[in-house]
Amino acid sequence: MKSLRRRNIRDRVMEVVLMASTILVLLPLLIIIYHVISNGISAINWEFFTEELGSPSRAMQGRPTGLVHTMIGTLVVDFMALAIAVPVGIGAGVMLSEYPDHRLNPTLRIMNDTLNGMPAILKGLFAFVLIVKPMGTFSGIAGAAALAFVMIPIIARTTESALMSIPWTIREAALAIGLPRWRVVLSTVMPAAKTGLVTGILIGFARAAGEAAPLLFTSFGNNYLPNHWTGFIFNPVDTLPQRLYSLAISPYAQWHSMGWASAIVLLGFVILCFTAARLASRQKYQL
Amino acid sequence: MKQNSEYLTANNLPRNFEITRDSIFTASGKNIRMETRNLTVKYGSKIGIQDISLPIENKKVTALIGPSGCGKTTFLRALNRMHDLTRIASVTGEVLLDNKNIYDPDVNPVIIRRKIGMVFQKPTPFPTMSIYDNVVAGLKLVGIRNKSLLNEVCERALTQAALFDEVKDRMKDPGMSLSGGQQQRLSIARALAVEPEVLLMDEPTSSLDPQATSRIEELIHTLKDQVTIVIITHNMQQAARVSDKTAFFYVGHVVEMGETKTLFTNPKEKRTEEYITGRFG
Repeated sequence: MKSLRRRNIRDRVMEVVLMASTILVLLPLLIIIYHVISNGISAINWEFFTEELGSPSRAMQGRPTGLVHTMIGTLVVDFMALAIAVPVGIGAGVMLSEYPDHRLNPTLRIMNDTLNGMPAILKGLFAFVLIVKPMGTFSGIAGAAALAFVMIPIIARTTESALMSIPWTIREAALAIGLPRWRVVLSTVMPAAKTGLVTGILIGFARAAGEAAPLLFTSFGNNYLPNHWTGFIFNPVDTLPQRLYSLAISPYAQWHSMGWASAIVLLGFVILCFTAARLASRQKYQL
Repeated sequence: MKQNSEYLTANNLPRNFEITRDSIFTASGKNIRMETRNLTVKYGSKIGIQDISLPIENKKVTALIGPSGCGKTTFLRALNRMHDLTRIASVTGEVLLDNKNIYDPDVNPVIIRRKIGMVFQKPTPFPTMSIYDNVVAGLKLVGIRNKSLLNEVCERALTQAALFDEVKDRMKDPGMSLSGGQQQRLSIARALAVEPEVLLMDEPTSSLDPQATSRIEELIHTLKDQVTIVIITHNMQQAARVSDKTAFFYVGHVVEMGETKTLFTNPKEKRTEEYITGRFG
């Protein structure tokens, strides 16, 4: 009887410890969200979503100012990065999972892990040397390339683990009806792993969407809307994480609260991506 | 049909059982479809099967029996180059299909697997595909788009696998929505859809109930007019019921092979007798 009571007490203690750690995980997030919203909400109005930023005097004199060019720029740069990263990342993931015997495989694995662990700013530097220097100008496409380097190793790893989670028997069954290997991967393994693939892409995307460092000397930033839409690709482009930084270090109180507001938008964007990833990862059939 | 462990003995024979003798390791006729010569499969340094030379007769059912881990599956997978995918597996010796070694460098394993189909122990419907798409996967995914041809093949294969009547009104349902026994028959239908000349079956009924088992055995009976079948089974009665030839595997070797009737009634080797009467294994 005595030992049973002791076990019950231990059980209660464990429960309390688990609850405490859960709260510790949630608390910083809640504090951040509270701070961001309470500081930024005052700067959010209609103009915030429809006007370009312009010079600081606009905000100081109460003329309409906003971050529409930043939001469009973020979407353009992020989706360009996605368009570059998805084929490369998925391709590398398929290589890692489906061709373990290939002689390039070990090298690819090491390179991918290195790229994953490399500081994001170095990826920006790489894109600077690769694209900004030859082009002679900062540009959205250079920023997209830098962000793609952030996404690729994440997508490759999640693709690999999503494909590995599909039972080997599916591949054998597909081979046994005389399908070539690429067809087996493309038409039976990848569809079965679809939710995992989508989740991986969204996680990579959300992660890159929050990066400021690789964009500092690639997309550079811009206070104005371009004259033509191609300006979002070939000219310096503003993005939310980087604009957040430059607003925050500016000497203007109005811009500080706009910085907080841009944080609200960025946070909302990233939360949306992760929620979509969660929804997409709901499995229909248990394998 | 009973599914218990009542082993066959000389005193316990099915009706219509007659005793014929056949020499071990040689086929009775010239009717050999496949043949292995000194086939050895190693996993790293571990030997899976060693030096197996076995004829497989055309349009006959060959059963492989033997205790677990004796190399039956290893042997079966060598017959359609399934070991190609396992890095550590190395195959030496020859597997002849119509007198051509399928391990020759000029042979495309994809073509070989079209001719030599395989059904696995566990049902393996493609998880994202409908019943219909599962059956015609082997055709559709290599570019055959002719709707009426696909429909025809689908119906034929499902009928052969004794599944058509159960699924004809729900072809668009996911393959995974079927019961285990139906899934296995779906896997068989999928294998039959590409019209293989040889069908390898690795314990196709081990996960099925007696009713589904008997349907698959009936299927094997009807199929053997068209297809050469090699089947692994742990069920002695099943081997006796469905096969014409039986090979007894033991620790990587074939101990005895012959006419099923002979092997079960008058085994030459002591170990064969001990195994089929249930004294070990």
